[in-house]
Amino acid sequence: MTQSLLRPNRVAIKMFADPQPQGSPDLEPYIGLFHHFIQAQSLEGLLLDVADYAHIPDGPGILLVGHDVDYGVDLGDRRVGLLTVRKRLEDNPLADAARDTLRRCVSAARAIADSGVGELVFSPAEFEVQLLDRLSAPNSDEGYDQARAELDGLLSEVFGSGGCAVARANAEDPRKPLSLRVSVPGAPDTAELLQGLGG
Amino acid sequence: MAGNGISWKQRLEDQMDPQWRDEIDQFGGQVELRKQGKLDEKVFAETRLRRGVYGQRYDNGRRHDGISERALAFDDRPTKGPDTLWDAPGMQRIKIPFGGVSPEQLEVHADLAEEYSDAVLHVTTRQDFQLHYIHIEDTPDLMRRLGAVGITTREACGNSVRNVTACPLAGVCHTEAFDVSPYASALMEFLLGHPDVQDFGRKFKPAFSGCEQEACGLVNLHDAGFVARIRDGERGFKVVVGGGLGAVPHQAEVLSEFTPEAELLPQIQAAARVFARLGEKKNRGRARIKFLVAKLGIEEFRRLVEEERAVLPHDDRWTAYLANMAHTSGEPVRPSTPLNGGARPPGFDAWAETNVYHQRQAGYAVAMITLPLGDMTSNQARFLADMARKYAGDNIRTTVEQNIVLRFVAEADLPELFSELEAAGLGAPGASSVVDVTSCPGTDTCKLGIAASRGLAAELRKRLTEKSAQLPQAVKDLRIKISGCFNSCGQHHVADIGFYGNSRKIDGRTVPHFQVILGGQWTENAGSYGLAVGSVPSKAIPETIDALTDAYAHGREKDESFQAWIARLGKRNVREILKPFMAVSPYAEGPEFYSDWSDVREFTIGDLGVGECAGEVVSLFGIEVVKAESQAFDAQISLEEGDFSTAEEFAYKAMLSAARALVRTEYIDVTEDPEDIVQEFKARFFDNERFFDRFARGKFGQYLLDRFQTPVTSVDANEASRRIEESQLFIEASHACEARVSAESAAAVQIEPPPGA
Repeated sequence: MTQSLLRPNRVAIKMFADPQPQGSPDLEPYIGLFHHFIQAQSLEGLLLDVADYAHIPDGPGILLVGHDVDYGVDLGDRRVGLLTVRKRLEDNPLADAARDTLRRCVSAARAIADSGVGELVFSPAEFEVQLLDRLSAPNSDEGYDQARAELDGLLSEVFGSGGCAVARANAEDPRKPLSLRVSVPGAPDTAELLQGLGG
Repeated sequence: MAGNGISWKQRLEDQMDPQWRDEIDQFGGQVELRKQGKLDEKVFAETRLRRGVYGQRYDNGRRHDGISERALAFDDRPTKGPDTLWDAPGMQRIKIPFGGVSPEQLEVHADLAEEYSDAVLHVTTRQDFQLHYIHIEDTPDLMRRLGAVGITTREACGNSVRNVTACPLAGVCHTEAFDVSPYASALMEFLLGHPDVQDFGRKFKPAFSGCEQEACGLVNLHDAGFVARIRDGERGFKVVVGGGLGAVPHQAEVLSEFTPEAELLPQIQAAARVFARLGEKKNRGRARIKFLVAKLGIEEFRRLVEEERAVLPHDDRWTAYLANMAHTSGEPVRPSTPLNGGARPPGFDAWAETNVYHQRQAGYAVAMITLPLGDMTSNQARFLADMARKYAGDNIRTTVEQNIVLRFVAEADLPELFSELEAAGLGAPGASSVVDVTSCPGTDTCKLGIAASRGLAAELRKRLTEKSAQLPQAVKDLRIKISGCFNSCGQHHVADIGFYGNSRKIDGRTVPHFQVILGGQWTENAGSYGLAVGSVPSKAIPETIDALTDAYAHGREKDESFQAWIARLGKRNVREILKPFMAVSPYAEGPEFYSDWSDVREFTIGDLGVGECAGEVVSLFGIEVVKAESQAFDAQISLEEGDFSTAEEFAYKAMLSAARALVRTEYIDVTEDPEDIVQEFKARFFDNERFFDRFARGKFGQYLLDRFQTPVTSVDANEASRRIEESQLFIEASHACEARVSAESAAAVQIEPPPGA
């Protein structure tokens, strides 16, 4: 078993929309939906407020801000996705933090799908894991190798051995967060995936 | 702490000024002490504010979610200030002296935004950066990472000297006397942590300007302003003091027509001592230096400063910097090459028309990058750092219009730069035009916000951009600035069209509104302030703008400015343009009026402890306060006509009428005698603090009491203008008070057990 050296303060998972919308998606419905999530306390975590960043090109879109987790319909890097940022992780091994973040992200994707609100469908067929902690997890070859080693077990457990392909993202720019792109051909649906994640 | 056990503290301890390092370590210790309950909460609050660590909306742990008010279930830990929960997210303000920021510093901001905030960097109207949703325990490391690249957050908030601002064109401008940036830098370094600036009753904002006639540093709206001048070959400054926006705006007054450069620092030190010694300390609402200058008169203030200057112990730092002045105007990284008919990509000409300023250094230009609402992502910040390195060296500046400028771009590089910016979503034209709407954070994150200034700004930006090609040039050149409340962080007083958030009780519910402020002057260093014309429902503002700009475009005389048009038309006629948009449909017919922009929740004010229940369709207060608003409007008309004493009298009557409307909600028989009204108002609403709001406390109520106790003998334009501002604020406070009181009454009725229970 790989020793856990990476204990980032924040882990984010961006699950991409499939299909990607043509042009700019209509984000307005998500403002109301996220307020509803706060009212109904539909998602895990202490949910605080909704921030509308739709005016920023390639920005965070609509953000549901929480104390220990943020959820957002994110437009960054010109790919629309559901971004879940797990915050205030206190000395958690990366694999545990990533599992928790993935579970919350899938759960949010399901809640959005169940609401019938908005045009976007978020699929676990492709997602990105971002380690938002340059001290603990620098975006370097060594950092990637370590992260890969620490996440392999989790990914095999969730998607089966050889069930997904992992590649390094952001390698071209070491200033960006260390990130891994995960592709899951024949990905399970969110309900099944959630079950596998213990959600 | 990383998995390998290294902390930011360990990693960076040798990479910053030892004094800064020690101060941050000390602050980290104070965070721990407060967490353990070993430090008084008020002491900790002032400590963190002086490090730029601000509170944020809902940090009292209560939030109205649109259905009911909910407690936010944070862990039970010590507070980080009165009524401010430890775990509630807050805002970190980061001082950027004269807006100058290097690519490396920008990259660190990008990292911090991703790791501690929401990956958004916000540029403020005072050239700072702000990061939101920050946790208090992350702030020491955040400060260390900034300190390692030469940025301090010290005294970014609190009763201290705030960021020193300056014109973003300083050093490259055609009309400046000289580059003021090194002086701004020297002033910041001299006053940072100086013992003479630690005992102010309120904040102190300085600004530098290279020339008099442009907007430049907006010195006239600052606590202290410095305009570069050369006299007989010697460098110096015209120094002004006592300006300020906020609830009651003041134009700064001239302290000195020419202060030689060697006297710049000792003179401001002397002024700081006078302010610390004589400025108001207890009543925050009267504690800015503008009130001291107004109270003493500028002649007496000047005498006191000169007296203080004469006894100041000598300090070598006053002039040491002059021998080795920081080089701040920048050096180009590419040779100067004119554009001279080079290839221009589609969209370039429109962008260049508004976003390029040709420097006085031939062949170089300033490229302005418009940031919508002052926001950019971490990715965009890194991209801009790349653009700066490639085209402009270290020459990045933030602006008070919430944009970024790159200086010393070779003109021949502009098309390529534009193409790269456009590909990154940062190539929007319209810098400093009508589409480039400025806004404070408002209800998005500010505890004081009443209405959604950012939501409105985003909506206006979207609508105006869609039709900008069709807009006449005179309309394109207008400026729109929005504040979420009367405090004017969006600088609405110096916009052609300004707004500040307020609310009205209609149909038993609260409706977000914006007060419309017209005719402010941006040029001449914020030469004059606009005046309130009327309050319009938030959702009707876009149509109001259309009506105003159409009327201006069609009604202006040749080359007539917006200010001149407003003055010629007169406020009575301007109000007629607004009138059709001031009405609010009953909830059943127009529910959209009852929520704010970018927010689907039914609007509430102040996150009161109870929701607001339907009352009568139009309350008695609602009927009677209209009289006060009419009188306030008449006061403005009289002011405009130059009849200052009538204007002042109308403004006073407006306060009396609003107070009477409030009193009559409880005591129907109150007479119209001012003594009777004031006595009842004082007993029923002021002395028991029911009129007070959580932040301004009794400031607005005191306006009426002061005016009643001290009748005026002679009135000039400034006095009349000030009284009108006071009356507007008193009326707003009356609306807010009535809304609070009726909500509390409704809640009391709700929890009363049914008869016989």
